[in-house]
Amino acid sequence: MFEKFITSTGFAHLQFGNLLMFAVGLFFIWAAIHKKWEPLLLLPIGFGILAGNIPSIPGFLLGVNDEGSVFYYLYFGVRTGIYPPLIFLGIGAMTDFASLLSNPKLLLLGAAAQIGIFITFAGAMAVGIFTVKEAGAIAIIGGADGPTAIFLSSMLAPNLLGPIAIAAYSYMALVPLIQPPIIRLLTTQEERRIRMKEPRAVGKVERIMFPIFGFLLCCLIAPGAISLLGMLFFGNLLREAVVTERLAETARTSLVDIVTILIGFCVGASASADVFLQVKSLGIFVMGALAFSLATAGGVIFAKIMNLIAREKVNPIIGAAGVSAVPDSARVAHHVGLHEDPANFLLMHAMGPNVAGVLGSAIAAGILWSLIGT
Amino acid sequence: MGWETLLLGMMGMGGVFSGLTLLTLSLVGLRKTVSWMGLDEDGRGREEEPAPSPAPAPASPAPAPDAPAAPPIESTAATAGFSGPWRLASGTLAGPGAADWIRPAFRAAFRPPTEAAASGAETAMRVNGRDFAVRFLSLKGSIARMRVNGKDILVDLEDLPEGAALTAAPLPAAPPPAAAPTPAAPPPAPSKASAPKPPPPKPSAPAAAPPAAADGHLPVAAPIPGVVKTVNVKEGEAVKKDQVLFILEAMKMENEISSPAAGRMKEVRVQARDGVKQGQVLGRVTPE
Repeated sequence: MFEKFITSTGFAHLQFGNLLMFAVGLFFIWAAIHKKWEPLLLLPIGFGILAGNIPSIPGFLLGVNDEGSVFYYLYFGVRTGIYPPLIFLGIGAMTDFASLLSNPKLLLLGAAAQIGIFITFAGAMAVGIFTVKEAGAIAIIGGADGPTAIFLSSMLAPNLLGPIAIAAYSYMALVPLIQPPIIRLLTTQEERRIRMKEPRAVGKVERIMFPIFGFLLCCLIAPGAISLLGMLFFGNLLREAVVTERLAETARTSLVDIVTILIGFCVGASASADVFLQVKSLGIFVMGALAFSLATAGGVIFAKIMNLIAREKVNPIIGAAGVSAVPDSARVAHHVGLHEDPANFLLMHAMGPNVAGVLGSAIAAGILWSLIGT
Repeated sequence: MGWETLLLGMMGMGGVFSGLTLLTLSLVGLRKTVSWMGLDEDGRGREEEPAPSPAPAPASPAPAPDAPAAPPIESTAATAGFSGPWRLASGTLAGPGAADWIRPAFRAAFRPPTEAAASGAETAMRVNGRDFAVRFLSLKGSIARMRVNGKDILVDLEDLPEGAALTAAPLPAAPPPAAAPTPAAPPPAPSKASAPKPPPPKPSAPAAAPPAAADGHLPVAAPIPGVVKTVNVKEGEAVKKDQVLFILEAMKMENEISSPAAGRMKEVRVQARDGVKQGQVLGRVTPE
């Protein structure tokens, strides 16, 4: 009887891997609470990791992959790619695209930063341990956008979803550490001191037209991006239309919070030791760091190229904000700028490439999906 | 596999680039169309929107000495309690897209808002040979509703950086061109403005320092939209140069707004937790 009780506890089935994952989960929780690194994401993920590593006991359905368990159904939204578009709806309702509308050429910075995705894709293929689909899913980490990464990996490589999502969110939390050295390396002090023209006021008509035409255009180019970008632009239209302020308010607060809780927890819970602790995960983390650095460099270098021809100079620091990671990378750009010139406020300028990066990585995801997903 | 991978990557990158380039072009087109159709006359967006106005903003840190002096605007504003002539930096004022320049021009002319301005009297203005009938309808806070040639426009009188070249102080006489803050005429269409640089958020550049303050007070403007977290000074208090006057919170970041010069706090216009727009004047410093 006593023996039966012992075998029915988790302790009897605990493996070294589970303990290791407990440590990872605790680290995430610590980083969220103590370091305040993206607490809204890292805390749910951290606790999810703890929950996902309680060893399963024969006869019980517990894990995210055991059909019939509660987690299985919560994870349904991740597995089928439902949650990320809902988050995008909220992001759309939150985002003010005015800085982009006022200076549309900043969109190109958001495109340039996606080069990290495609170089990493080639790199991941070169490593040789990943299939094409896996490489595509890993490369999207360079898009620096959690929901996009989750969406694409749930479509292309569901087996790697846990490590990919965790790598993506970890690097997003580390943006303030990763980006500044790269920016400084690639720019001169003089360039970092460039002051940009104040963004112009953007009228209501433009604000309303943008989500409608932006949606049509982006989704005609990359139909695969329709679920992400469709929701993003829809959310933005709710916001800009003003008459639907109630819906926009819900989308950007309650809805996005609920989905963030679910997605964070589920992604964490999917990172059980047997999935997470493998050589491929290590590869994912290495490739992810590469993707992030290349994306940052791509944005900065492209801003410098633009300066060769453009009349109005662009401060190349804001190129780094082209890797989405909204709004962290814009904040990083702002801080790097302030460090050089305490009166140079780059925040609003950096928001342009920043939101362009979201569009860029969602389009990239759509293209990757349609190119290699079928 | 290698070539195929590279090809895939290049196709993807090309797709992203062409997509966003198209989007860029269509945004530019959209803007042109909207301003051509005049749809944005009233498109001041919402209250919380940062409402910088590129046209009048360039306080021209270093106005070129040979910058063409702005065409003076003759105003027969006797009824409104104004006496002209008014000096405006509005460049070429003719042509379509009237909103591009009407707003800045009148914003400049009727600043600071006075009771007379809000009294509803009609003012005739002549700008580069064109006549305008301007009538103030209401003044709510700093937002003035005016009827210009029968068309209502909203003008935020706070938008103008104070002490900028556009101060609408009546000219005493014909001042020597160098003495007055020579307005470097901004280009006709703000959308094409090639103004060298934005005005410094704080008048830290020497050129924007005391001489630019027409009334002797230096404005402290919000460089970015946000919420005032703390106000560290009181009116009348002595301040040092670069002393932190306000903490402005934007996107969960705290930004220090410091004093442009040593002097005394002439006024403080905001309180903690006030939402402010870009360029909004938070307070003024009298340099000593």
